[in-house]
Amino acid sequence: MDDREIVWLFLARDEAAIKAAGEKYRSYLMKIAENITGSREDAEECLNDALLKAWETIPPMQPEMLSTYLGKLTRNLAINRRRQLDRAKRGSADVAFEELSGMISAKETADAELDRKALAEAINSFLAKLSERKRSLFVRRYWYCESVKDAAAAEGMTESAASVTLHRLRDKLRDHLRKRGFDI
Amino acid sequence: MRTDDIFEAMTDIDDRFIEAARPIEQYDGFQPVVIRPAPRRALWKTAIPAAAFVAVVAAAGVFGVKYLRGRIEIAPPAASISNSIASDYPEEAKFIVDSDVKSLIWGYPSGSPSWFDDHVDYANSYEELAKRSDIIVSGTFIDDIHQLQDSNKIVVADDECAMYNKLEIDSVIKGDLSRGEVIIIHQDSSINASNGEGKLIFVLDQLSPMFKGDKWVYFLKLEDDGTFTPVNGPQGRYPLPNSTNRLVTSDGINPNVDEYFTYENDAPARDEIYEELLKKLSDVEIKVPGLERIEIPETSFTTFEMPEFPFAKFNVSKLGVSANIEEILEITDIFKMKDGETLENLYLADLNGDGKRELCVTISGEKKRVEVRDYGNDARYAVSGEDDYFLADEDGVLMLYYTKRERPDTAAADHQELTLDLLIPVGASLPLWEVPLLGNATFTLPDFEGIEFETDVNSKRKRFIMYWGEHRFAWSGPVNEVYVCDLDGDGQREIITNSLFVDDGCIHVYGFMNSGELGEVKYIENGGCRVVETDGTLKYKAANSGMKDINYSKSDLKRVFTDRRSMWGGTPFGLGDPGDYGYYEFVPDDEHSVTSLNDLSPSDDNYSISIENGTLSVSRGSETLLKTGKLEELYGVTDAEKNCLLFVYRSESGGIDAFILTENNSSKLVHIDDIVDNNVVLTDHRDVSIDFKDGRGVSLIGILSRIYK
Repeated sequence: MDDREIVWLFLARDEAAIKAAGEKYRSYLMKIAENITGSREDAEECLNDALLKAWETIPPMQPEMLSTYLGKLTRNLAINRRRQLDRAKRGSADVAFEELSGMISAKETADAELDRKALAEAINSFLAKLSERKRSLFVRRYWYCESVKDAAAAEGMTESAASVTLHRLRDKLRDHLRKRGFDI
Repeated sequence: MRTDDIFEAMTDIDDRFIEAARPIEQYDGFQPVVIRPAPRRALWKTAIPAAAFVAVVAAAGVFGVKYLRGRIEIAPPAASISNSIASDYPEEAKFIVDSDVKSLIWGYPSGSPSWFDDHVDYANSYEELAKRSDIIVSGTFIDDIHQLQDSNKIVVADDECAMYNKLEIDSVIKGDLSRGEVIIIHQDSSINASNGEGKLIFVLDQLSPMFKGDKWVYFLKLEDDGTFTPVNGPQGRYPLPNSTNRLVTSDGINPNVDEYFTYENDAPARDEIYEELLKKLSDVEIKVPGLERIEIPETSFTTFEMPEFPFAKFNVSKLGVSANIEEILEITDIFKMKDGETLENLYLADLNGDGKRELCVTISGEKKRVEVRDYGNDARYAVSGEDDYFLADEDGVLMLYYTKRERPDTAAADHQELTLDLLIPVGASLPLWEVPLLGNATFTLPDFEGIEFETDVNSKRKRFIMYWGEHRFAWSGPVNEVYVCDLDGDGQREIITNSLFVDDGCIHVYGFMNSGELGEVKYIENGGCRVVETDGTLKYKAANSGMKDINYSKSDLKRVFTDRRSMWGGTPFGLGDPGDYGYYEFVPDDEHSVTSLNDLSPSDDNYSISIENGTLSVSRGSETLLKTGKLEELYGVTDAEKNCLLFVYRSESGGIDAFILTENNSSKLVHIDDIVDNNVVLTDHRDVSIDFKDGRGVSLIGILSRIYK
């Protein structure tokens, strides 16, 4: 089914939208989630949550690119899921600290959201300067969280070359962000 | 700011970046091969009815058919899908073999790749199958497979697509077709491309893989639209022996066709049909003559034909060779001749073994040069230089002769059998730019951002120096020529220098690695060699041989560039004055990362490496090379050839030291006792960059493995 048709189903509040999106993007979203969580079961949960989140957010959202919209939802959920898993492994003091950090004000939350947007914009401007190949390598590694080996193979590079390239790109990104006032 | 913040913010990067890097998904064990859509164009609402000439030309425009020799109207297949999709959105997709699939090489089976299906009324003999066929031909695919799909609806379950390809006929067993004609073969029905999930999937249902260059034999039915479909699906198609199936992995697994395409379930009489088919094919195959010399009249022209190109007639005179292509009345000059040049001789010889001979000529003018035109593949080759190159036959073998200008007699000429390896491909010439060699000047080059060059090559010293940051690269020998040329085709040019001293030339190449960041000296060859520029193409001239001019190719470069042994073992770019900085990049192969001390054994058995009570010891024979104090942690890495080992360790006092053991001719040991950046974080399986300040300017970027903690 065409993406536009699926989005239209979401907008029309037709539950077939969830099924259609799931059928079409299951593999894609599972790969993203599994790369981050490292667990198929957790990835399944993220996938279901992402579809539900899509149901909740469309409308008002009307994504132009359904695949990346769902991908971003999945990535966020997978990061959160991973964080939960990490927290479960940590001591009670860490958890207590995190509970206290939940007390931060709505303003601070909004500030954090603004910071995140600014950071994303800065990363975007960094990525825009890169060659297509380097950008693709970077996004594969740090957005899709592919292994260096897989990302290298996809870009036709040796694993070593990819590793070195990523190393330099990280250094460049750090410089790029520092120049833009990010404390890193 | 935490790393997590960046990682999270990454989520919101531009959709286009995400989509462009989107990986190929796995489909529950069903690995797709992606067919990338070609640019949208409006075409193919129905079969194209047109007069033959117009149709051929029009179709050639659409398909890029190079040789307009067919009499059959070439039209796209009017598969059933044409009626099932919105006519406003027809689109074609072309199968592109991705780089990661190219390695999938496997031989075709000797017999038919057919399977048994209860619903098909199979023929039980060759005669029966032949009777049901309009034509029986062997041919070569001149393109990769195309797939028709509905572009408005991304191919998903319940959508359908159809595939086709163009076959250039080599031999005709049955039917009113001729060698050289181009026909379209397509599936006799559209297929369901389920599991596509947004990607076009190449599914081998009732169709052979059909990659460019593959040779198959077909029993075909002529469809109403002028295209052809295999009789009885798989029973109507057979690979020629020794053809290849590039979709099958070396494990014998075809990831795309396991559900559809098995060799075990044979259709009836498979072997008998195939055997009979090959026999018939052998009977009708055009026997291409071997080496042939075409005599060139002194004052007029003569016409000759080549059975491998039945649609063309060739004219030859002292002034050149031209092809007269029938039906479209096109006359084309085969060779470009300069004023004053004449053809000395013309040979027809199959140099590349494709069954179609090449036209090989000696062109005589101020100098003699050789040109070859591969008419079948539209490729040109040439060899020329400061001296003479010419062709002559010797005992039925075409020979390439080389002789110096001062000794033009044939007897003194060096010669060997002509092969394409000896020639330079024409038209694939690389953009070449000779750097203006100014006396004692500093300049920059557009492909080398941030690098300054200094040259005084017009002076006696003939030095060429490159400045990159705080590093200085100085060539040891006098540099006579400097060229800039994209040798490896990565879009960035490299610097190539000739250093000639004491009659002993050497070549250095400096370029950028894939990362585009770090310059690296790429050492080509030392001694008796040089690069020369001819007609805008850079050639490599081997030591003491006028016959070994070859064009640089990517593979050549790769081979020499990855020769780390020579980089470590010698002075690859000839450091100049003492104190000059060299710069080595050491990129270990991940597969050779160290996981235990056992992995650190250099090929010299005399080495002994051990760690006891937290103390690392390295010795060679009875000589102790290193004995550390008690270590807090120890990491190691080795390169692919195991000719360089690196230890990085933190002592209990907290300082970090590194120890490099290089294996070269003298098994020399290098002990580096100071690290510029002492804040390096040593982490298992993390890449790390360390600069050592020992005057050697060694930089290491590698993946460390923890050995001891």
